[in-house]
Amino acid sequence: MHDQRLAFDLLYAEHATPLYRFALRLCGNRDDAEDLAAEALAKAYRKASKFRGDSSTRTWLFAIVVNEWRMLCRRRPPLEDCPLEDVESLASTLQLENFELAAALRELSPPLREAFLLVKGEGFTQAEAAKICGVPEGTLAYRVHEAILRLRNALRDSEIPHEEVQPR
Amino acid sequence: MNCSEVQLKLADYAANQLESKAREAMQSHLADCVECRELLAVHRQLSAQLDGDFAVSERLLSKVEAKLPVKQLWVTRLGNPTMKKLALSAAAAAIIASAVLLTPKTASASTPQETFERMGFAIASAARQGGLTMKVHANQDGTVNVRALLDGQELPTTFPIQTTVKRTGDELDIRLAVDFDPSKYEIRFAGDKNTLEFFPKGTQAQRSVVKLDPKSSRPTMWTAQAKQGSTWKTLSDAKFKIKPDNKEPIVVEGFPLTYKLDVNIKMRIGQDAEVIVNPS
Repeated sequence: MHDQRLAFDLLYAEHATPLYRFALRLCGNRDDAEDLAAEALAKAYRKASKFRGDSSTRTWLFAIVVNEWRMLCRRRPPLEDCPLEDVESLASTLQLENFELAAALRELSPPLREAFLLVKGEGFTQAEAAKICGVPEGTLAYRVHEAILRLRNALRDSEIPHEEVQPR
Repeated sequence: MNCSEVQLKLADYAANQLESKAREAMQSHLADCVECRELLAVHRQLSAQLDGDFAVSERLLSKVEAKLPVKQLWVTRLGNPTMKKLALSAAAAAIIASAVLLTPKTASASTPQETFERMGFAIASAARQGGLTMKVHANQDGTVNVRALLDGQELPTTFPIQTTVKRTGDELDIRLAVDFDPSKYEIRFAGDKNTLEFFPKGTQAQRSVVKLDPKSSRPTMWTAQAKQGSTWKTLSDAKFKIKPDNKEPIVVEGFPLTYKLDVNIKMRIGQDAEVIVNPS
Protein backbone atom coordinates (compact mmCIF):
# COMPACT_ATOMS: atom_id res chain seq x y z
CA MET A 1 0.00 0.00 0.00
CA HIS A 2 2.82 2.38 0.88
CA ASP A 3 4.53 1.65 -2.43
CA GLN A 4 1.28 2.28 -4.21
CA ARG A 5 0.98 5.67 -2.57
CA LEU A 6 4.52 6.61 -3.35
CA ALA A 7 4.10 5.52 -6.95
CA PHE A 8 0.91 7.50 -7.21
CA ASP A 9 2.56 10.56 -5.70
CA LEU A 10 5.20 10.50 -8.42
CA LEU A 11 2.65 9.80 -11.10
CA TYR A 12 0.53 12.75 -10.01
CA ALA A 13 3.48 15.12 -9.95
CA GLU A 14 4.44 14.13 -13.47
CA HIS A 15 1.09 13.83 -15.21
CA ALA A 16 -1.52 16.02 -13.49
CA THR A 17 -0.60 19.23 -15.31
CA PRO A 18 -0.42 17.82 -18.87
CA LEU A 19 -3.60 15.79 -18.37
CA TYR A 20 -5.53 18.78 -17.15
CA ARG A 21 -4.11 21.03 -19.88
CA PHE A 22 -5.07 18.49 -22.55
CA ALA A 23 -8.55 18.04 -21.07
CA LEU A 24 -9.11 21.80 -20.87
CA ARG A 25 -8.08 22.26 -24.48
CA LEU A 26 -10.33 19.41 -25.54
CA CYS A 27 -13.49 20.56 -23.84
CA GLY A 28 -12.81 24.25 -23.14
CA ASN A 29 -14.58 24.06 -19.82
CA ARG A 30 -12.60 24.10 -16.58
CA ASP A 31 -15.09 22.12 -14.58
CA ASP A 32 -15.37 19.35 -17.16
CA ALA A 33 -11.59 19.36 -17.65
CA GLU A 34 -11.05 18.82 -13.94
CA ASP A 35 -13.50 15.92 -13.99
CA LEU A 36 -11.81 14.29 -16.98
CA ALA A 37 -8.31 14.60 -15.55
CA ALA A 38 -9.47 13.54 -12.07
CA GLU A 39 -11.07 10.41 -13.50
CA ALA A 40 -7.81 9.38 -15.18
CA LEU A 41 -5.77 10.10 -12.04
CA ALA A 42 -8.17 8.27 -9.74
CA LYS A 43 -8.00 5.22 -12.02
CA ALA A 44 -4.25 5.52 -11.98
CA TYR A 45 -4.28 5.51 -8.19
CA ARG A 46 -5.68 1.99 -8.14
CA LYS A 47 -2.97 0.76 -10.46
CA ALA A 48 -0.15 3.07 -9.39
CA SER A 49 2.20 0.40 -8.11
CA LYS A 50 1.98 -1.49 -11.42
CA PHE A 51 3.22 1.37 -13.54
CA ARG A 52 6.75 1.26 -14.77
CA GLY A 53 7.04 4.99 -15.32
CA ASP A 54 7.55 4.49 -19.05
CA SER A 55 5.69 6.02 -21.98
CA SER A 56 2.90 3.42 -21.79
CA THR A 57 1.71 4.99 -18.52
CA ARG A 58 1.33 8.34 -20.18
CA THR A 59 -0.44 6.83 -23.17
CA TRP A 60 -2.81 4.96 -20.86
CA LEU A 61 -3.68 8.09 -18.87
CA PHE A 62 -4.41 10.16 -21.96
CA ALA A 63 -6.52 7.35 -23.42
CA ILE A 64 -8.71 7.53 -20.32
CA VAL A 65 -9.19 11.27 -20.78
CA VAL A 66 -10.08 10.78 -24.46
CA ASN A 67 -12.59 8.04 -23.65
CA GLU A 68 -14.14 10.01 -20.84
CA TRP A 69 -14.42 13.03 -23.09
CA ARG A 70 -16.12 11.00 -25.82
CA MET A 71 -18.62 9.73 -23.28
CA LEU A 72 -19.19 13.28 -22.09
CA CYS A 73 -19.84 14.40 -25.68
CA ARG A 74 -22.39 11.60 -26.09
CA ARG A 75 -24.16 12.54 -22.88
CA ARG A 76 -24.01 16.25 -23.56
CA PRO A 77 -23.22 17.14 -27.19
CA PRO A 78 -21.08 20.30 -27.49
CA LEU A 79 -23.05 23.48 -28.14
CA GLU A 80 -23.02 24.77 -31.66
CA ASP A 81 -22.32 28.28 -30.41
CA CYS A 82 -19.43 27.88 -28.07
CA PRO A 83 -19.72 30.04 -24.89
CA LEU A 84 -17.26 32.90 -24.83
CA GLU A 85 -15.88 31.84 -21.46
CA ASP A 86 -14.97 28.41 -22.87
CA VAL A 87 -12.93 30.06 -25.62
CA GLU A 88 -11.28 32.24 -23.00
CA SER A 89 -10.47 29.20 -20.84
CA LEU A 90 -8.93 27.48 -23.83
CA ALA A 91 -7.02 30.65 -24.77
CA SER A 92 -5.54 30.76 -21.27
CA THR A 93 -3.60 27.59 -22.10
CA LEU A 94 -1.98 29.15 -25.18
CA GLN A 95 0.95 31.47 -25.71
CA LEU A 96 -0.15 35.09 -25.26
CA GLU A 97 -3.66 33.77 -24.63
CA ASN A 98 -4.24 33.58 -28.38
CA PHE A 99 -7.99 34.01 -28.66
CA GLU A 100 -8.14 33.46 -32.43
CA LEU A 101 -6.36 30.12 -32.17
CA ALA A 102 -8.60 29.10 -29.27
CA ALA A 103 -11.71 29.91 -31.32
CA ALA A 104 -10.31 28.02 -34.31
CA LEU A 105 -9.53 24.99 -32.13
CA ARG A 106 -13.10 24.99 -30.88
CA GLU A 107 -14.29 24.87 -34.47
CA LEU A 108 -12.42 21.62 -35.15
CA SER A 109 -14.49 18.47 -35.02
CA PRO A 110 -13.81 16.28 -31.97
CA PRO A 111 -11.72 13.67 -33.86
CA LEU A 112 -9.53 16.38 -35.42
CA ARG A 113 -9.17 18.21 -32.11
CA GLU A 114 -8.15 15.05 -30.25
CA ALA A 115 -5.56 14.13 -32.84
CA PHE A 116 -4.17 17.63 -33.16
CA LEU A 117 -3.88 18.24 -29.42
CA LEU A 118 -2.25 14.91 -28.67
CA VAL A 119 0.41 15.33 -31.33
CA LYS A 120 0.99 19.08 -31.43
CA GLY A 121 0.03 19.95 -27.87
CA GLU A 122 1.31 17.00 -25.88
CA GLY A 123 4.16 15.79 -28.08
CA PHE A 124 2.94 12.26 -28.75
CA THR A 125 4.15 10.62 -31.93
CA GLN A 126 1.41 9.97 -34.44
CA ALA A 127 1.74 6.24 -33.71
CA GLU A 128 1.20 6.83 -29.97
CA ALA A 129 -1.70 9.18 -30.59
CA ALA A 130 -3.27 6.58 -32.89
CA LYS A 131 -3.21 4.07 -30.02
CA ILE A 132 -4.75 6.59 -27.65
CA CYS A 133 -7.55 7.39 -30.08
CA GLY A 134 -8.01 3.76 -31.12
CA VAL A 135 -7.57 4.42 -34.84
CA PRO A 136 -5.00 3.31 -37.46
CA GLU A 137 -1.89 5.46 -37.67
CA GLY A 138 -2.76 6.59 -41.20
CA THR A 139 -6.14 7.87 -40.01
CA LEU A 140 -4.54 9.74 -37.17
CA ALA A 141 -1.93 11.30 -39.48
CA TYR A 142 -4.70 12.41 -41.81
CA ARG A 143 -6.61 14.00 -38.93
CA VAL A 144 -3.57 15.94 -37.76
CA HIS A 145 -2.93 17.12 -41.31
CA GLU A 146 -6.55 18.12 -41.79
CA ALA A 147 -6.55 19.99 -38.47
CA ILE A 148 -3.41 21.88 -39.46
CA LEU A 149 -4.95 22.93 -42.78
CA ARG A 150 -8.14 24.12 -41.11
CA LEU A 151 -6.27 26.05 -38.43
CA ARG A 152 -4.03 27.62 -41.05
CA ASN A 153 -7.06 28.77 -43.02
CA ALA A 154 -8.80 30.09 -39.94
CA LEU A 155 -5.72 32.00 -38.80
CA ARG A 156 -4.57 33.23 -42.19
CA ASP A 157 -5.46 36.81 -41.34
CA SER A 158 -4.51 36.72 -37.68
CA GLU A 159 -1.30 38.05 -36.24
CA ILE A 160 0.65 34.86 -35.66
CA PRO A 161 4.25 35.83 -36.41
CA HIS A 162 5.34 34.33 -39.69
CA GLU A 163 8.51 32.26 -39.82
CA GLU A 164 10.75 32.36 -42.80
CA VAL A 165 10.12 29.21 -44.78
CA GLN A 166 13.41 27.36 -44.98
CA PRO A 167 14.13 23.66 -45.42
CA ARG A 168 15.63 22.02 -42.38
CA MET B 1 8.14 10.87 -51.50
CA ASN B 2 5.31 12.94 -52.87
CA CYS B 3 3.60 15.90 -51.17
CA SER B 4 0.75 13.82 -49.66
CA GLU B 5 3.17 11.38 -48.05
CA VAL B 6 5.36 14.17 -46.73
CA GLN B 7 2.48 16.22 -45.35
CA LEU B 8 1.16 13.27 -43.38
CA LYS B 9 4.53 12.91 -41.69
CA LEU B 10 5.25 16.58 -41.08
CA ALA B 11 4.06 16.41 -37.46
CA ASP B 12 6.57 13.70 -36.57
CA TYR B 13 9.26 15.40 -38.66
CA ALA B 14 8.75 18.75 -36.92
CA ALA B 15 9.05 17.01 -33.55
CA ASN B 16 12.25 15.17 -34.55
CA GLN B 17 10.51 11.84 -34.18
CA LEU B 18 11.44 10.25 -37.49
CA GLU B 19 14.24 7.77 -38.00
CA SER B 20 17.20 9.01 -39.98
CA LYS B 21 16.25 7.35 -43.25
CA ALA B 22 12.71 8.75 -43.26
CA ARG B 23 14.06 12.08 -42.11
CA GLU B 24 16.50 12.32 -45.00
CA ALA B 25 13.75 11.50 -47.48
CA MET B 26 11.63 14.28 -45.97
CA GLN B 27 14.50 16.77 -46.11
CA SER B 28 15.12 15.92 -49.71
CA HIS B 29 11.49 16.64 -50.61
CA LEU B 30 11.29 19.77 -48.49
CA ALA B 31 14.36 21.23 -50.15
CA ASP B 32 12.44 21.37 -53.44
CA CYS B 33 8.85 21.98 -52.33
CA VAL B 34 7.68 25.40 -51.17
CA GLU B 35 4.18 24.21 -50.36
CA CYS B 36 5.40 21.54 -47.94
CA ARG B 37 7.90 23.95 -46.38
CA GLU B 38 5.07 26.41 -45.79
CA LEU B 39 3.08 23.72 -44.09
CA LEU B 40 6.08 22.77 -41.96
CA ALA B 41 6.30 26.39 -40.85
CA VAL B 42 2.63 26.28 -39.83
CA HIS B 43 3.35 23.14 -37.80
CA ARG B 44 6.13 24.93 -35.97
CA GLN B 45 4.12 28.07 -35.36
CA LEU B 46 1.26 26.09 -33.89
CA SER B 47 3.59 24.03 -31.71
CA ALA B 48 5.03 27.25 -30.34
CA GLN B 49 1.53 28.59 -29.64
CA LEU B 50 0.64 25.47 -27.68
CA ASP B 51 3.79 25.62 -25.62
CA GLY B 52 2.61 28.09 -23.00
CA ASP B 53 3.20 28.06 -19.24
CA PHE B 54 0.37 26.36 -17.52
CA ALA B 55 -0.71 25.86 -13.94
CA VAL B 56 -2.83 22.94 -12.91
CA SER B 57 -6.26 23.69 -11.47
CA GLU B 58 -6.27 23.98 -7.69
CA ARG B 59 -9.52 22.04 -7.53
CA LEU B 60 -8.10 19.03 -9.36
CA LEU B 61 -6.64 17.49 -6.21
CA SER B 62 -9.90 17.54 -4.34
CA LYS B 63 -11.71 16.06 -7.34
CA VAL B 64 -9.20 13.19 -7.47
CA GLU B 65 -9.65 12.67 -3.73
CA ALA B 66 -13.41 12.47 -4.10
CA LYS B 67 -13.00 9.63 -6.59
CA LEU B 68 -10.52 7.60 -4.54
CA PRO B 69 -11.64 4.36 -2.93
CA VAL B 70 -12.42 4.37 0.77
CA LYS B 71 -9.36 3.38 2.78
CA GLN B 72 -9.31 1.17 5.79
CA LEU B 73 -8.46 1.79 9.38
CA TRP B 74 -6.99 -0.57 11.88
CA VAL B 75 -8.35 -0.38 15.38
CA THR B 76 -6.48 -2.24 18.04
CA ARG B 77 -8.45 -3.23 21.10
CA LEU B 78 -6.12 -2.88 24.03
CA GLY B 79 -5.71 -6.15 25.89
CA ASN B 80 -7.09 -8.01 22.90
CA PRO B 81 -4.58 -9.24 20.37
CA THR B 82 -7.09 -9.54 17.53
CA MET B 83 -7.26 -6.68 15.11
CA LYS B 84 -10.55 -5.40 13.86
CA LYS B 85 -10.74 -3.70 10.54
CA LEU B 86 -13.08 -0.77 10.26
CA ALA B 87 -13.94 1.32 7.28
CA LEU B 88 -12.48 4.77 7.45
CA SER B 89 -14.81 7.54 6.43
CA ALA B 90 -14.40 9.15 3.06
CA ALA B 91 -13.13 12.33 4.68
CA ALA B 92 -10.35 10.44 6.39
CA ALA B 93 -9.50 8.77 3.13
CA ALA B 94 -9.37 12.21 1.62
CA ILE B 95 -6.87 13.59 4.08
CA ILE B 96 -4.65 10.56 3.74
CA ALA B 97 -4.82 10.94 0.02
CA SER B 98 -4.04 14.63 0.44
CA ALA B 99 -0.86 13.82 2.25
CA VAL B 100 0.06 11.40 -0.50
CA LEU B 101 -0.59 13.88 -3.21
CA LEU B 102 1.74 16.50 -1.87
CA THR B 103 4.89 16.98 -3.81
CA PRO B 104 7.71 17.69 -1.41
CA LYS B 105 9.94 20.53 -2.40
CA THR B 106 11.65 23.35 -0.63
CA ALA B 107 9.80 26.59 -0.08
CA SER B 108 9.31 28.90 2.82
CA ALA B 109 5.98 29.82 4.29
CA SER B 110 5.46 33.54 4.70
CA THR B 111 2.32 33.88 6.79
CA PRO B 112 1.25 32.26 10.06
CA GLN B 113 -1.73 30.72 8.21
CA GLU B 114 0.55 29.08 5.64
CA THR B 115 2.84 27.79 8.38
CA PHE B 116 -0.15 26.45 10.26
CA GLU B 117 -1.46 24.80 7.12
CA ARG B 118 1.90 23.18 6.53
CA MET B 119 1.95 21.89 10.07
CA GLY B 120 -1.50 20.36 9.48
CA PHE B 121 -0.27 18.51 6.46
CA ALA B 122 2.89 17.40 8.23
CA ILE B 123 0.68 15.85 10.90
CA ALA B 124 -1.52 14.29 8.21
CA SER B 125 1.66 12.91 6.69
CA ALA B 126 2.67 11.51 10.09
CA ALA B 127 -0.79 9.93 10.32
CA ARG B 128 -0.23 8.30 6.95
CA GLN B 129 2.96 6.74 8.29
CA GLY B 130 1.17 5.43 11.38
CA GLY B 131 2.62 8.15 13.61
CA LEU B 132 -0.68 9.53 14.88
CA THR B 133 -2.52 7.47 17.45
CA MET B 134 -5.69 8.19 19.38
CA LYS B 135 -6.37 6.33 22.61
CA VAL B 136 -10.03 6.26 23.42
CA HIS B 137 -11.68 5.17 26.65
CA ALA B 138 -15.46 4.76 26.79
CA ASN B 139 -16.62 5.82 30.26
CA GLN B 140 -19.52 4.24 32.11
CA ASP B 141 -21.57 7.41 31.74
CA GLY B 142 -21.35 7.27 27.96
CA THR B 143 -18.71 9.96 27.60
CA VAL B 144 -15.29 9.23 26.17
CA ASN B 145 -11.75 10.28 26.99
CA VAL B 146 -9.48 10.77 24.01
CA ARG B 147 -5.71 11.14 24.10
CA ALA B 148 -3.75 11.81 20.94
CA LEU B 149 -0.16 10.71 20.50
CA LEU B 150 2.27 11.84 17.87
CA ASP B 151 5.16 9.44 17.34
CA GLY B 152 4.27 7.82 20.67
CA GLN B 153 4.42 11.11 22.58
CA GLU B 154 1.19 12.38 24.05
CA LEU B 155 -0.13 15.62 22.59
CA PRO B 156 -1.50 18.31 24.91
CA THR B 157 -5.23 18.81 25.36
CA THR B 158 -5.26 21.73 22.95
CA PHE B 159 -4.51 19.42 20.03
CA PRO B 160 -7.62 20.01 17.92
CA ILE B 161 -9.71 16.86 18.22
CA GLN B 162 -13.47 17.26 18.39
CA THR B 163 -15.30 14.26 19.75
CA THR B 164 -18.96 13.49 19.16
CA VAL B 165 -20.64 10.53 20.81
CA LYS B 166 -24.00 8.95 20.11
CA ARG B 167 -25.09 6.33 22.58
CA THR B 168 -27.42 3.41 21.87
CA GLY B 169 -27.67 1.16 24.93
CA ASP B 170 -24.15 0.05 25.73
CA GLU B 171 -22.84 0.90 22.29
CA LEU B 172 -21.27 4.22 21.42
CA ASP B 173 -20.90 5.68 17.96
CA ILE B 174 -17.87 7.91 18.26
CA ARG B 175 -16.69 10.45 15.77
CA LEU B 176 -13.21 11.88 16.17
CA ALA B 177 -12.46 14.89 14.01
CA VAL B 178 -9.05 16.49 13.67
CA ASP B 179 -9.40 19.77 11.88
CA PHE B 180 -6.53 21.96 10.64
CA ASP B 181 -8.52 24.37 8.55
CA PRO B 182 -6.61 27.64 9.08
CA SER B 183 -9.77 29.68 8.61
CA LYS B 184 -11.09 28.27 11.89
CA TYR B 185 -8.23 29.53 14.04
CA GLU B 186 -6.69 32.76 15.19
CA ILE B 187 -3.06 32.17 14.30
CA ARG B 188 0.06 34.26 14.73
CA PHE B 189 3.79 33.83 14.97
CA ALA B 190 5.18 33.71 18.49
CA GLY B 191 8.65 35.20 18.51
CA ASP B 192 9.97 33.59 15.34
CA LYS B 193 8.58 32.14 12.14
CA ASN B 194 8.91 28.58 13.35
CA THR B 195 6.72 29.09 16.39
CA LEU B 196 2.97 29.46 16.17
CA GLU B 197 0.38 30.36 18.72
CA PHE B 198 -3.24 29.67 17.90
CA PHE B 199 -6.68 29.05 19.32
CA PRO B 200 -10.05 28.27 17.78
CA LYS B 201 -11.88 31.42 16.67
CA GLY B 202 -14.35 32.63 19.24
CA THR B 203 -12.63 31.00 22.22
CA GLN B 204 -9.66 32.48 23.99
CA ALA B 205 -9.63 30.40 27.16
CA GLN B 206 -6.88 28.09 25.95
CA ARG B 207 -4.27 28.28 23.27
CA SER B 208 -1.48 26.20 21.76
CA VAL B 209 2.08 27.35 21.33
CA VAL B 210 3.82 25.07 18.89
CA LYS B 211 7.42 25.09 17.80
CA LEU B 212 7.97 23.54 14.40
CA ASP B 213 10.89 21.82 12.77
CA PRO B 214 11.70 24.37 10.02
CA LYS B 215 12.30 21.68 7.43
CA SER B 216 9.55 19.15 7.96
CA SER B 217 7.01 21.51 9.62
CA ARG B 218 6.33 18.81 12.21
CA PRO B 219 5.91 19.98 15.80
CA THR B 220 9.01 19.68 17.97
CA MET B 221 7.26 21.17 21.00
CA TRP B 222 3.56 21.66 21.77
CA THR B 223 2.48 23.64 24.79
CA ALA B 224 -1.09 24.03 26.01
CA GLN B 225 -1.80 27.24 27.90
CA ALA B 226 -4.84 28.57 29.73
CA LYS B 227 -5.66 32.22 30.27
CA GLN B 228 -5.54 33.44 33.85
CA GLY B 229 -6.36 37.11 34.03
CA SER B 230 -4.02 38.77 31.60
CA THR B 231 -1.39 36.02 31.62
CA TRP B 232 -1.12 32.55 30.12
CA LYS B 233 -0.41 29.59 32.36
CA THR B 234 1.13 26.45 30.91
CA LEU B 235 -1.07 23.40 31.44
CA SER B 236 1.11 20.81 29.76
CA ASP B 237 3.71 20.49 27.10
CA ALA B 238 5.18 17.83 24.93
CA LYS B 239 8.44 17.53 23.04
CA PHE B 240 8.83 15.52 19.88
CA LYS B 241 11.91 14.10 18.27
CA ILE B 242 12.10 14.52 14.55
CA LYS B 243 13.30 11.30 13.02
CA PRO B 244 15.62 11.64 10.03
CA ASP B 245 13.01 10.22 7.64
CA ASN B 246 10.55 12.88 8.72
CA LYS B 247 12.73 15.77 7.65
CA GLU B 248 11.46 15.90 4.11
CA PRO B 249 9.98 19.36 3.61
CA ILE B 250 6.28 19.53 2.91
CA VAL B 251 4.89 22.28 0.76
CA VAL B 252 1.28 23.00 0.05
CA GLU B 253 0.51 25.24 -2.86
CA GLY B 254 -2.88 26.86 -2.74
CA PHE B 255 -5.69 25.66 -0.56
CA PRO B 256 -7.32 22.88 -2.51
CA LEU B 257 -7.29 20.13 0.07
CA THR B 258 -9.41 18.74 2.83
CA TYR B 259 -8.04 19.69 6.22
CA LYS B 260 -10.21 17.40 8.20
CA LEU B 261 -9.54 13.91 9.45
CA ASP B 262 -12.73 12.14 10.45
CA VAL B 263 -12.63 8.79 12.17
CA ASN B 264 -15.82 6.93 13.07
CA ILE B 265 -15.63 4.01 15.48
CA LYS B 266 -18.03 1.91 17.48
CA MET B 267 -17.20 0.99 21.10
CA ARG B 268 -18.92 -0.49 24.09
CA ILE B 269 -19.09 1.12 27.52
CA GLY B 270 -15.93 0.46 29.52
CA GLN B 271 -13.87 -0.46 26.46
CA ASP B 272 -10.47 0.97 25.45
CA ALA B 273 -9.38 1.35 21.88
CA GLU B 274 -6.24 2.52 20.20
CA VAL B 275 -6.91 4.06 16.84
CA ILE B 276 -4.00 4.12 14.47
CA VAL B 277 -4.64 5.89 11.24
CA ASN B 278 -2.48 3.70 9.11
CA PRO B 279 -3.77 2.33 5.86
CA SER B 280 -0.96 -0.16 5.29
